[in-house]
Amino acid sequence: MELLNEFVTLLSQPYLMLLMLGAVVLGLLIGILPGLGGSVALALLIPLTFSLGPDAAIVLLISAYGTVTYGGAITSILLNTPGEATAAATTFDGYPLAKQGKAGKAITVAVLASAIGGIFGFLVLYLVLPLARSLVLAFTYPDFFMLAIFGLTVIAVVTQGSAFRGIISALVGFMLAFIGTDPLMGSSRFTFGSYHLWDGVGLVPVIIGLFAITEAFQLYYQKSSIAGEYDHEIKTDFLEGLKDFIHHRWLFFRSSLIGIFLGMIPGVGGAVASFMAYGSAVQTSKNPERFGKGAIEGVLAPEAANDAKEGGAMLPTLAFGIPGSAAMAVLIGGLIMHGLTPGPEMLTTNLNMTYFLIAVAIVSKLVALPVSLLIGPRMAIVTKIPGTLMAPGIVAISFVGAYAVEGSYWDVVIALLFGLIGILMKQFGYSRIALIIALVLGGLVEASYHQTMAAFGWEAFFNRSISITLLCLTVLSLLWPWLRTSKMFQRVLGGGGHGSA
Amino acid sequence: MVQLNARTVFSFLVCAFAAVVLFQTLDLRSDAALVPRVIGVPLLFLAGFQFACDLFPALGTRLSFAGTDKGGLDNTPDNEGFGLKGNYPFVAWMVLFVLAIYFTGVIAGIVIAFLLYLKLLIKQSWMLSVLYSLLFALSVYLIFVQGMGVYYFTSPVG
Repeated sequence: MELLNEFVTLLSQPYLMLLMLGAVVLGLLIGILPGLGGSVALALLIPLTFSLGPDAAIVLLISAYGTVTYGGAITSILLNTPGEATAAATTFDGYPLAKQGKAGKAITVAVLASAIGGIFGFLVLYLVLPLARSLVLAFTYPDFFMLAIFGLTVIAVVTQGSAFRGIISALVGFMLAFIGTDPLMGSSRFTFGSYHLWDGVGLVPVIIGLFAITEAFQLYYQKSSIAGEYDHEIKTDFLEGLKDFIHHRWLFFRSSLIGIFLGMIPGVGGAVASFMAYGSAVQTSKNPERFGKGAIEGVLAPEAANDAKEGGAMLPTLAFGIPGSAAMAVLIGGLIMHGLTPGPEMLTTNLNMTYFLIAVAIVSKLVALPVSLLIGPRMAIVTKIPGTLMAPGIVAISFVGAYAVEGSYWDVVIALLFGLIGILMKQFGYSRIALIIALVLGGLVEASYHQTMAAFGWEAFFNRSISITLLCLTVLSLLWPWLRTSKMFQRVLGGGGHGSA
Repeated sequence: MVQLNARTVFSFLVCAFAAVVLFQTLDLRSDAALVPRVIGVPLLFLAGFQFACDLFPALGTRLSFAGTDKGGLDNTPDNEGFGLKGNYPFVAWMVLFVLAIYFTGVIAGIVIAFLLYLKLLIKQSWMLSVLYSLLFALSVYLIFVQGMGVYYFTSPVG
């Protein structure tokens, strides 16, 4: 019922619907551009929300973020070039279908699977919210402390680069989070005598630097455009796509569930979800030999999982304030700027905003469906623009965005500095995602530690069942990189433990 | 054998950052310094170990988790060859861009930086350079200054 009210609120405001339409087109464009994923889209759009209210900011951010995957699917099918890693699995069968002259059908199925998968994911989120609400209310300070540490260790261990350097990146992120004022007395800490650092290192400039500027550098580095030749006059056939979609409805359902489940696990991003869904589609197919040669199931499964995972990823983000991915960390930054702090408040005092966010996500998926089918294939022409021409535009938007946060020139310098750090981290295999999530979680970790010590004493970390469980999971996730390669572990799995999902 | 390269310098800087921040905790009240110390000590240890592995590649090869292997799930494309080396003009241009914003403001800074980039760095035609620069600056002006009412896009020293 509450969700229905939020649908009415959203649909009755033409201004918000127009904003959504603009955000969907922007998201589609960003998704089509190579290397620019959901986190970059959010980082670049946050500055545009300054003059907006929280509801309009949610519409802009969620609608654009939700449409990025559609763009990635279109370039995967037409150009064999995924906009980002999450769309890579779609190329396996999407591109062969395009070569057989069935690009229109592949795009229709991909967009349908994305839209309905995304809606399904958010509906599941809506249904599990009451459960999450009772769970989150059972959490106290030591549990939040342990949850933050657990979430971060999982991210540090499973994201890109080596697990060892992932942990180092996370610890650096924590140390950066401690810059500013200490939470106990409010005295300055690690500011090196600079008043610019009294409020800490700004989240938005750091995100812009680590993700947007680093990706702009990647575009400059690539020099040429990514596009090959493709048919610009692709006709998408909605009815034929719908027929295929209905025919493979159980595969869609299974892939979406895989996406939702994996989305809830911090650090396991859309790439893993889409590859696992693809693998599952191959394994359960009666004709697995068709995969890789243009099987429509090979497009449907990864796209459904990739979008369904968004609903799953929102659960730890909204309920516990634990971002499961870089994009969710950026979203947290955007919500905080508008007075909405992800965590228990989103399920209690701000519950209506959570329902509004779900309503926006669902409606934007529906709006994105016809937009992507009508103009998506034509927009793929932007991939013909050389990287060297796109790079300055992204750098300029990054600097403008960083400056617009608070009108502080210092933030532009921070964005540049973290842009260079991001390039080096990417080059040497350090995890930018772990750093940014630790930066977001650092305050929560320190505050919940002090609150635990003041309210319960140190033993609270070890005598509460939730804390103990999370502690065990933390230790397990830290040992995971070594466990999974150990001979004993592989023997237990019957020799099948050499893969990494 | 000792190996001194960009990787070694970067891991040294991470190590130095941990050391400096830990040193700073000596000036703090013990309760305010506690959590940073709890994080800083393992960071210093791990970053120091990483630095040692980068400095002595033989050690890194023996202890593969800190060496060049890729543990866990690697979702990114291969970054081999990616890096600052050979791309310093782009980095210098970004620094110039930031300086241009400081001395001339955001809008004029965009025009100057774009012209420099398009004409000098990637050697485009005058037509494209001027049009791209002006249109981009105009878009930023219309969206941020006119549309959003951002009033502080003038030079911080102007």
